[in-house]
Amino acid sequence: MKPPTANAVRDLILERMDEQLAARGLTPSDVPPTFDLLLEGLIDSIGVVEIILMLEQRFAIEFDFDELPADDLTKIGPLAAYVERKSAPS
Amino acid sequence: MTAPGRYAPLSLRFLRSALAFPERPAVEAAGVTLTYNELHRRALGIARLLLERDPGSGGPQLSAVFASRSVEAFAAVLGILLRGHGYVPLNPRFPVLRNRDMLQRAGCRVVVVDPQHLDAARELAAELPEPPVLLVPPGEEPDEEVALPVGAPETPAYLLFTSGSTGRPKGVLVRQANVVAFLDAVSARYDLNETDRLSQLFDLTFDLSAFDMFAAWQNGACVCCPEAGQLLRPSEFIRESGVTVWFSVPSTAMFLERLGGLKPGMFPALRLSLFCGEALTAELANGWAAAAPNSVVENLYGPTEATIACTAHRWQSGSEPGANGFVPIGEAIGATRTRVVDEELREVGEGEAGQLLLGGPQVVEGYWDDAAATARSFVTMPGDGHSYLTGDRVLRPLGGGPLEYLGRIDSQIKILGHRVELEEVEAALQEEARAEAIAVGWPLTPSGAAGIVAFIASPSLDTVQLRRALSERLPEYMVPRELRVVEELPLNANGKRDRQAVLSILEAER
Repeated sequence: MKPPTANAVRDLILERMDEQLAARGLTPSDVPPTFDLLLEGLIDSIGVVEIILMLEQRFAIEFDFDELPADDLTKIGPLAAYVERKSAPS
Repeated sequence: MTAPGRYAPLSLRFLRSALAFPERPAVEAAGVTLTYNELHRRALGIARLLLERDPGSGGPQLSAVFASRSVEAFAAVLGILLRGHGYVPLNPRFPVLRNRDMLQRAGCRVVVVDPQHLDAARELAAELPEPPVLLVPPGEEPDEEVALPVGAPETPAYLLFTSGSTGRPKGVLVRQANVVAFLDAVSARYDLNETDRLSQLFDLTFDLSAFDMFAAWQNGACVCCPEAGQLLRPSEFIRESGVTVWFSVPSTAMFLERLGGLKPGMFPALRLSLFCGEALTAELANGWAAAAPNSVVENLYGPTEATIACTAHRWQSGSEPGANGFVPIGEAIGATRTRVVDEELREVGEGEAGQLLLGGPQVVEGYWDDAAATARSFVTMPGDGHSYLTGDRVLRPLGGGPLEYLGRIDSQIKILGHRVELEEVEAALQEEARAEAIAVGWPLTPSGAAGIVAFIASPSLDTVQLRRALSERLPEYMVPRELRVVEELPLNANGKRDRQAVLSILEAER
């Protein structure tokens, strides 16, 4: 599998939320990197677990929570960048 | 507390607590706390509006809830029960098509909506042939006399939809009598009281959420939903919310362990830790027991069809696990009867494996509006009466010890505790891709949690488009993590196309 770009990861996450984004007057491309999925109410605390599991399985990676602080975990920019970094061949 | 054997509906159980503990907290969610008195008044307001808008007694006695996990959602559930209806939880995080299908099949005339989801609810309702009334609760209501119906034993408590092997979700109608039987069983077992605070980690579409709400409310205890982000700092959630009773699927606990949230002695205030919904490994149970040294640790088991949970096993840390390293699922609680049977429904001997059959007052009548599915899974057994064939393979141990879970007899898998029938995923794949497809559950990451991998026989398929189409009709956990396009579906050793052949390929790639 080709390693994903941060943009592809971002699209994958936001694609499933376009109805909720539309309710906030946003399209996926408007969403700034600092947008916090949790604080903006797009997911709840259980949803975080689901998204991380989805990303781990989709890209066959394992999050190391020491590398990604909890505050960044739910921000779209840092989260997508982390998945790209983690998926890159070492 | 309700004396066993005396029927009291859910609404009455709540009302008793509201009278006894009016100023104690009943629910905390998203930074808002409601006392019993406040929750009662809000729910009464909703019940009264429901009576006004939907006074009829014909048709299904069901009303829907469309809300995020907030105090509004809990008030809506209670308001619907006070109205004498059962609640049908929709999920704002599910695709519109799925919510609409559930709403239509339930035949609800009213949907209670929280203000944030009113637009989404309009979209949901607009395309239904008979659009339901959308009701945004007005918040707290003044005290007024309202004559409310009392939930009879056969009154619906809730209608949930679980994954269906024919490609369509199956509805499970759980009646007051079923839930009351469950509550009497757990009351006797756990001795909850008004000082307890229960974690609430489930969507309302997941029946385990009913344990948190109703077990708390019949004892004057509080239901605590973690706030945004709090679950990422579990010890903070447990400490700051003062949680005394933890209830989650093992996947959530495993996630906390990975977050570094499961260190010895971390949760001294927990007195009860309950796990349900999927197999619990002895390793995780031991880790949890060390983190919560003052807590009893129990593994519960139960399908939605037998109301929340119907067997339990108290785990002694460090004791010998059952088959596959799992904690046993234990013995029947309350009035549930278990029997391990072979294909002819004859009880197997001690030390043998078979399918688990459940009888007793927690077993529901059958599937909602689906006689064929009901006939496949519900049987009448001499001596046990109406019984449910779980599809779960268990070991009947020697000497009458606790039952041990072995696996499924069919192709159901669990993802984060959610039931997924692989046939339902395959049906969606085949419809959207217009090609043959096979779906399997497979551990895709080193930590081993199962996700779905799908093989689709359509070489020119646009998988990005397919993924999008699937996301519009399936909940996130049912969308395959990997969509693999192939010329032809693989064959097994017998030349048959089946899931085993796909599993062999994935196994060989490891």
